[in-house]
Amino acid sequence: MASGASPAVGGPAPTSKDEATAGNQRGAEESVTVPQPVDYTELYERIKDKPCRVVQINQQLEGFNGGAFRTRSDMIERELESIHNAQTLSEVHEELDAAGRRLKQLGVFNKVEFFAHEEPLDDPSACTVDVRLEEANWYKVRAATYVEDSERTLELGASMSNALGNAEHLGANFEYGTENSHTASVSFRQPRAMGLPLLLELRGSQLFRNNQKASSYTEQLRGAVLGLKSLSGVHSLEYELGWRRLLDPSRSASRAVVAQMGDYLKSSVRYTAAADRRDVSAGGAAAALGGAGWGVKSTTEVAGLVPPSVGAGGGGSGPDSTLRFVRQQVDAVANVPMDDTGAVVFSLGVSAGLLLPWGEGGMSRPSCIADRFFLGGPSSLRGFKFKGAGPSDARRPAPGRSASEQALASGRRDALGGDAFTSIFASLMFQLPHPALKLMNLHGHAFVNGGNVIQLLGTGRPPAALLSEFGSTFRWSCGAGLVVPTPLGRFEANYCVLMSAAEHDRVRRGLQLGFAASNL
Amino acid sequence: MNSQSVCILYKWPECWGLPSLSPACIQAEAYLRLSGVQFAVEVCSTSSSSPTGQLPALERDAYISPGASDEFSSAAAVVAYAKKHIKDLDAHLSLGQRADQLAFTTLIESRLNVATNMTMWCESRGFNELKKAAYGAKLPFPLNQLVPWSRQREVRRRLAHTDMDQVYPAALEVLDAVSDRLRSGGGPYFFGPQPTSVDALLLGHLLFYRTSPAVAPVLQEKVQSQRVLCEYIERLLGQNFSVPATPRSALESSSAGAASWSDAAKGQKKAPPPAVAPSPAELQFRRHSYYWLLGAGATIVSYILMSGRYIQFATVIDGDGEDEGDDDEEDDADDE
Repeated sequence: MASGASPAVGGPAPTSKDEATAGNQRGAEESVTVPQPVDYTELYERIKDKPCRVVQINQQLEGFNGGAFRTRSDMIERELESIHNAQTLSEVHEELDAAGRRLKQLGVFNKVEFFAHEEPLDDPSACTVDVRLEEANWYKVRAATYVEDSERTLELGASMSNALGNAEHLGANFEYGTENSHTASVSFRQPRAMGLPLLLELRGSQLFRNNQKASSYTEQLRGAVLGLKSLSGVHSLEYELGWRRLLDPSRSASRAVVAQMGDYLKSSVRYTAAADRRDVSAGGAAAALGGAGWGVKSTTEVAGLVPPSVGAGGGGSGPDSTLRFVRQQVDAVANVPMDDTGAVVFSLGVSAGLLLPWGEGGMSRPSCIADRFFLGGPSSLRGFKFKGAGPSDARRPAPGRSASEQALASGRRDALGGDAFTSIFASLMFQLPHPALKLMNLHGHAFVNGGNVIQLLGTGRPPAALLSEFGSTFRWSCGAGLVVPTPLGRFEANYCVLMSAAEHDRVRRGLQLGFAASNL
Repeated sequence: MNSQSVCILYKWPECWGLPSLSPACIQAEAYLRLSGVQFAVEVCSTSSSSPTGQLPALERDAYISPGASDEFSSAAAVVAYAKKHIKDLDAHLSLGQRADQLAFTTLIESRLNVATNMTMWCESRGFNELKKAAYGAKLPFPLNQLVPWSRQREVRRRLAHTDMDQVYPAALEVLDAVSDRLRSGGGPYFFGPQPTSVDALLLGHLLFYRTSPAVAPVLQEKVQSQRVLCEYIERLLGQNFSVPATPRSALESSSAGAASWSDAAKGQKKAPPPAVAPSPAELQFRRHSYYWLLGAGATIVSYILMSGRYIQFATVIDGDGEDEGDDDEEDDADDE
């Protein structure tokens, strides 16, 4: 019970007073008619190193909407155990903070509250902590739409959390895209697995991606992913085992794509590290870009982790069925406000990626088209159509034509992608001056966008020639336009002027509309 | 006939001494060899590596044989295309012989196809042998079980209604009929001195029955015990399959299909692509899309101005009263 002179503060940052100090305070107050205002900050600074330990932790557990409390008690005990190690008042404060954070990371509680008070009254260096936990609902259903790779996708998901009391999350997801791509997955997530600050995830999925418009093939990937992620979202390590099947139902793919069709085994480890120091709270134009500051993300993938006895038995000129490569991609973004009000922000984004094989004979065979990098479209290279920049190959013409007609017909081309790519985006984004437009979150921007993607493997050329080709065929475009940040991504309406494009690129001159997804 | 067009046949690799481990691919190759046309062969380790997703497949310049659900249907499509565009082996048959040809082709399709499918996919021993030979060396571990298993499921679904006890005796009857016909007919081929499509279809099944370990013992014994069938097979093999097929890579290296330097690497700057004049339909589309965008923008702007939620116009109440159309003053519930 709190006495009148020692107030209790709710939330995870409580303070408790030493009994002797409170007694002194009460004595002082009774002798003076006018109660002095107490400076708690200074009082806390004075007594924070005095010995104080927690002798008892009372738990008040509430289920969702008055229902039964499902979380297992030994899980809660495990997170609260370290509170008993505190020796001084400031340590109690820190341990309660840390325990509150750990309980929130489980992701099953709506409310986590700590309340420390000075019971038992006869021991000045002891205090009691009351923990109040309220659980969240056990099921969640969600529906979302987003734009990915020029395809509008609808996502439906249902998840069941904490059904067994271990704070585990079971989820099922289904995504359906406008170009008939669909993905179905079930996942199991366990936050704070075994008491460590990690998230364990096991996901099985079947993915069907329809790339016929750009590259004339469809990809079907069935597999499982086992992942370990840090709870702050900075690090993530995943192992993926999957069966990938590339088919061409349209039968009009180019030679380069037809040679890629088949069944592949993907056994890869992927490590992602992200550092995001962008501060959204600063407001201004930078808020549309995720905040002022900088962010970097690096993804490394090593594929081909199979026992060495399993080797391709010399399947002629066909592709190796086990994917063996190392893929590295780095994305960096920096947003710099140009003036104090933050109305104008200069943004610079750089992405680069490299795909290299390993194992014998790797450099002489082309890489798998589903792992390559593609460039083009409103997200990566404005002024070009989606997957429009980069190596391409002529599609098979319709069989009705004669040979001479085939030579003349400007057939559609398949985008092949490349093994090395880079893309640079520099823009000056500003809020439009009218208050009405500010309310609509409409911004304007002027940009310069450049990038290039080339094929390294299977070309049989020396690295010097490839490097000179990379430099000489760099594509550049510039322009200006309007930007509206939406929940689906940044919607941009740009007028683009091409400064440099290569032969066979599919360009989009003039007005280009689209959603620009952020790389981070 | 375009002499430059080259035929490429996609097939399963050679195995057990056979030109291909799949009888459908042997049928397609046999037809091409019997017709004497020049063709190259591309060996695919899985059926998804072929351009149509099924093996056998025929590619000739821009044409690709249609993909079918079954490998025997793909072989039939290859043979049909070859008959129409390359060489028709049945052109010399008389009317009576054509009737026989139709009858025997139907017999082969309805009975021997089913028996071969049954022994390859539904018999556990046959399936294991096929799996080992076809997928064992080429695909890594989980795939060499998963991929044949998914194909087996498809074939089993198609054969679900057939009765296993009836299939093999029906096939044996056909083999008896074929051997009787060969014995009585004389001449090296089924219809006498010249090869026909029936020879190609028969060769696929007979060769498979004679040598493959994936075949049911009844069928194998029947073929091996009939001397006329063995002689027929040997004769056809000796005359037509003596020369190994040219692989596609040998063909490619002679042509100019290899990678060439891009112009940039050779130091030449490419001229900017010529501006293609847009077609009238495209111009009209562009015009309409600009109008639509303008209209949408105008609607948004007019909504912002006239709804009064974002911009309040101060109204000047004159003595003689302003016209109400310009009155944009609203209740300032949430003002600036």
